[in-house]
Amino acid sequence: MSSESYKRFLRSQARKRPVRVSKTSISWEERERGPSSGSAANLLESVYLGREPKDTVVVDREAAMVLQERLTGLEGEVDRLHRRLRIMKWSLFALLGMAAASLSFLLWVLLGMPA
Amino acid sequence: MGSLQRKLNDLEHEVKSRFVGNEEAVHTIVLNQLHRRSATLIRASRGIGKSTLMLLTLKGLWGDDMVVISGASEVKRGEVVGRLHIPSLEREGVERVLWAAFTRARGKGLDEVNRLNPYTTANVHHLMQFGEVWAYGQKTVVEDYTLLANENPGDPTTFIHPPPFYDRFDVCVFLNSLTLSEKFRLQEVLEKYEGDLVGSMPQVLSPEELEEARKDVTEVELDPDLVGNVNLLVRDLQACVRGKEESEVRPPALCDGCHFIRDVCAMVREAPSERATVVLNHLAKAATWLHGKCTPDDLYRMALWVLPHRMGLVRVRSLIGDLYGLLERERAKMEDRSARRQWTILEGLSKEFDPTFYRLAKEAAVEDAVFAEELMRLEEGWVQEERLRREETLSAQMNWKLAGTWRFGSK
Repeated sequence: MSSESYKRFLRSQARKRPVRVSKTSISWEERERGPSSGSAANLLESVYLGREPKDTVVVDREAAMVLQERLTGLEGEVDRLHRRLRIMKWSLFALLGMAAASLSFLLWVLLGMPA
Repeated sequence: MGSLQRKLNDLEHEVKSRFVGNEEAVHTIVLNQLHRRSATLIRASRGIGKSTLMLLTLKGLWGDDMVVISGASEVKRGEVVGRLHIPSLEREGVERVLWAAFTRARGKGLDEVNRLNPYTTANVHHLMQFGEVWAYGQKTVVEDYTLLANENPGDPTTFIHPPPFYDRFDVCVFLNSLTLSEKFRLQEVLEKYEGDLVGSMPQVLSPEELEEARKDVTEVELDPDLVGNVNLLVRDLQACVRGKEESEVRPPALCDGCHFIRDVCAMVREAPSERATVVLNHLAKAATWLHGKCTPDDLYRMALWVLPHRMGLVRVRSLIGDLYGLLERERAKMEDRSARRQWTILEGLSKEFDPTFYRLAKEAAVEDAVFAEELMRLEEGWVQEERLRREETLSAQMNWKLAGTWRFGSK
């Protein structure tokens, strides 16, 4: 059994926000609404502009695609940097090896030379 | 504006002319005086002015008919409730109780309530709950009063009082330290009143006028939408499809994998009590009586002081800041509900079952636990009337149940 004040609340809301009912559908006019505090725009702002996000953010399809694209790009960048790092590591080892060999040869020449 | 409203505005003006800054806290305290047995808690660090604000308000309302007891001074039951009259016991063998001035005074102040010992706190708790006090097997009923308390929970020697005790306080206002310009103002105010802020405070209302104002406020009829907003706000912070109220597991563990993980309910560890609804209604009535209107924005502003001492959040960085964020999200949620015509649909369904309305309602209910509760309540009736099969219901499909009801199998 619903209370009278609860019914009054529902009636008041129904009066303020009416809907059109036809045989198969229900429709109403949407009023312009600003973005909610947890909108996807806030998430992109936090990613790109460094603004602090809200506690919970909702991501719409477009924003998710932008982020996905950005992630793919970043993963590619990480792979490329990994490859460069590997080449530089091997180059460094080769240089160190060559330096050690040169040093050993120099010592051998200096110490092995007859007086 | 009537003469009583003017008096209340005068009270606020007199307090504000002596108490610099924290205007919203002062306004909330004044609004909270407009119902019987009002209880206000002021929280602040040391030296911010919590005792001064308490004394100014009490003096403005009750003049000299006020008693302040201090938690810092090892106050005992005899000073708060009553003590035995020894001559009567010795001469006549009769236990006569001398009720303490704190019990009899209509203006009651509790300074540094966090330092009150648990035994005295239990007596004050009983007074606030039942409007009576007991000592030596005797009882006395306490007349209408105004209770203002203050505390700095960060102080050493703080007792952790039980949550039900704090729940008895209608509002809990937090005071901030003064800004640069406010510090200048404070110096001017101190010079103006020669340092005696409390001593210079006049009694603005007579007890009869306060009683009349309180009576007027109770007779105010609130707009149904505002009452709806109050009830929705509190219910949103209480509702949980996993039965948070009776579960021994607390969020965030309880919320793991929950459908409503992004909703406000997932951020609440301890839900507010029904007193939050009662107090918000009182304050909304008081604001309507005093200013002629109370908007949903006013309501959210008031909720900031009604909720902090009667609910627990899952993660707290700054209690008031986090609560403010929660209320902002609530406001967005209310707008979303209105835009979806949820209540219009529910009103239609409460009159008669309509499959098109029901489909829309089910869609909305999947994202709104409070709406889902009301829809499931209607579903029960439709199932009994055989308009709907149980397996088609939201409760069967989502495996949700109404709190306090037996869960029927979906097959």
